[in-house]
Amino acid sequence: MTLPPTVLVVAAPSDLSADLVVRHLSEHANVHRVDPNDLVKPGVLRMTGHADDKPLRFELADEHRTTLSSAIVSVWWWHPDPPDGWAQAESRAVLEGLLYGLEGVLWVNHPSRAAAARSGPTQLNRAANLGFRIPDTIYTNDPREAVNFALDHGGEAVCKTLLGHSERFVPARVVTVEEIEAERESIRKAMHYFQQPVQKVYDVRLTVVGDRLFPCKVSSRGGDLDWRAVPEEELSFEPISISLPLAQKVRKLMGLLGLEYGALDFAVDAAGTWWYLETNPSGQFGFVESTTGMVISRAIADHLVQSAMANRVFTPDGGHKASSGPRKPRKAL
Amino acid sequence: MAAPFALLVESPRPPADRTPAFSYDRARQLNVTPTGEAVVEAAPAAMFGPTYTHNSSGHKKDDD
Repeated sequence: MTLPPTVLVVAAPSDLSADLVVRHLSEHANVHRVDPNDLVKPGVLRMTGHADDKPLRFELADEHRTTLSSAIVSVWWWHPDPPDGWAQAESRAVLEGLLYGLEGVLWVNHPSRAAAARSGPTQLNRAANLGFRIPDTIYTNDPREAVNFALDHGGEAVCKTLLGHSERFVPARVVTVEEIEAERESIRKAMHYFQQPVQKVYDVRLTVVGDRLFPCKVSSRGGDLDWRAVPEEELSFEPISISLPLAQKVRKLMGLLGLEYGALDFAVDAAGTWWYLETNPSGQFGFVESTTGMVISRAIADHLVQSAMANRVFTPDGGHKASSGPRKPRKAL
Repeated sequence: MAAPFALLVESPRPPADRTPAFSYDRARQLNVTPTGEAVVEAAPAAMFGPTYTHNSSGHKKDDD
């Protein structure tokens, strides 16, 4: 039976960034885009999986297409809406369980690897050990430690969070020793993330797809600390170059984190030093693409097809199989 | 009583979403405008800025 290689896209239906990639994918591959929450809508997304002594297998079907698990060569997991309620959560768990059983498949990114690689102390530690310049950082719910940290850095510290608020946008901001002193009780109520302020002249959003790098300079008219809080009309985005040594470190970091895709943030100072801030395993790329012309969506599509197919061999009947067993996480160079 | 993260403050609300109305076309697996054109083809690139960087509530989503 012929099984045309298929890229499975798992995304929310209204996601326009997913549209950008699906459009490119459709030019040279079979694409099946699914919304996991459709599994609880009768007849909309039908799925049947089998777990026995044979290889794990399943079939996904909707009104327009049917995909057998053995045809899937890569999975693009891109911001599917979270499940709402027990039925959706149960259905998502089964879907993920079946997808995780796929062998020889390229994931961009595998959800468990993305979760393990998310921004935080481990990521900063790995980056520092690779030679990235990182700002001094502490995580604490002890106001005395917070005060001492700020005093060590000129009486100020950047206060930020690892997780975004679900309903509000709360940007990073510079706080003074006096402000920290005044909010001692607040600091005792949660872990706080403080960083040495970097005297930056601009930011860089570096999007990484496989081995391809898309560095974008982000400038704000007022030199704001957190460009995400700046109105669009006061920001400028432009492609820039990245040094070869830094590019090599970035690829090593991606390998260590087990990521095929990532959006890295840097602050660049007047001396030209790129200070590593974080890697977002599923950071958005659409605003970079639309403002700079760097076609990141095509790179993602190419990676999902070409890299996934690179370890495949084709059989005379038109089928295909993984040539070297399950794909292993990217290795550090 | 002090709330957690009192050191942090909410950002002013960003610009309103300028993306045209669209709906999901299951056959094409793309979002389309009311006239049937794919949103990513039909709308000027400038319209995507706020869409890509803000979620439906109007907040930045670059690091979701």
